Amino acid sequence: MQFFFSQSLQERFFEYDIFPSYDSSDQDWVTQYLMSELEDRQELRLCIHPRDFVPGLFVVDNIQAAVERSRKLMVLFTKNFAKSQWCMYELRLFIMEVQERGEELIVVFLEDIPAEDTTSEMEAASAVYPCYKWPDGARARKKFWKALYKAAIKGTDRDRSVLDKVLKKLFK
Amino acid sequence: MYDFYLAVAESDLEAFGIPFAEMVERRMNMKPCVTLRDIVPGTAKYETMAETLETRCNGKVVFVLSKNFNNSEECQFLVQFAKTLDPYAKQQKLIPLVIDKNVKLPRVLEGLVCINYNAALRENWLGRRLWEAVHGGTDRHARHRRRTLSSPYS
Repeated sequence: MQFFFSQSLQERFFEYDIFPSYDSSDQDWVTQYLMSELEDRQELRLCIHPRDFVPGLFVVDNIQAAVERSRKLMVLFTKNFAKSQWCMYELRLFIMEVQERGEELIVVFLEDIPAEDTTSEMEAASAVYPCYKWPDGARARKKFWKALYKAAIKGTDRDRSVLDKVLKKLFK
Repeated sequence: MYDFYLAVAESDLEAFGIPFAEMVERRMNMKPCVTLRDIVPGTAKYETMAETLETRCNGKVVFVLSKNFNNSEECQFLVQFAKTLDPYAKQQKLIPLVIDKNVKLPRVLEGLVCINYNAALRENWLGRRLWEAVHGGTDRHARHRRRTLSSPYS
């Protein structure tokens, strides 16, 4: 088995664990579900723009700073996301950053988006990176959070998958 | 010395400006300079406002963006003047506080991160956001409540 470690990412300090990009009209979902699950229950640190962006500075400067300071980048695809200029800008920036880092973008679909409303960048992102669809029902949602959490902690000190693989091999 | 200058249209002063200023003084421990209350009326009104803003408010302005903001001559003057103090938005001198929906930002404030008053109040972020905006937000690391995940090698 081969293990690839990008030294610079592993040793870098990140102020935020995840920077989610979403349209402001989806803020309620973010507050009710994303923040309560990932911040309160799982104790991750999210960069939420109405709370954590610095007022009085340019939005673009804030976005750039947040991208540099976040370990993982996430996008929440909805019909509103597809129509928002800022969201498209953030998506492009995220794709570039994630390619540079050699990591994966976390793509979350909050609803089904018809093909005519999807932009080409969204289509490309959902084709290349693993997508997580927000389901109905408590059990499905539990699975959803488990999968999302696993993606969010990949490569950090909470990620046991590498350790588990090594242990399995040692004690086969 | 004031912590910041509150640029509010005259028509919003009674409904929003004064109660907001009082709340900030009482609950957030900051001192705003409010035009009709703190500026001595007389001739050369705009010059006094500009001087107060620059010398006694540390150049910091909070603009109360409502439907009436664009109709207020005073506010238009303040926006233009304050911009000269921080043209590249590097020092957080101009802080837009949006209190109405669908308000168009004046051109000079375009592209800046605003504080959405209603949302911030609802989520209980208002005090912290305002404090950070006025005081430079450099103590962000100090107020970390939870440790972020680190790499297994650090």
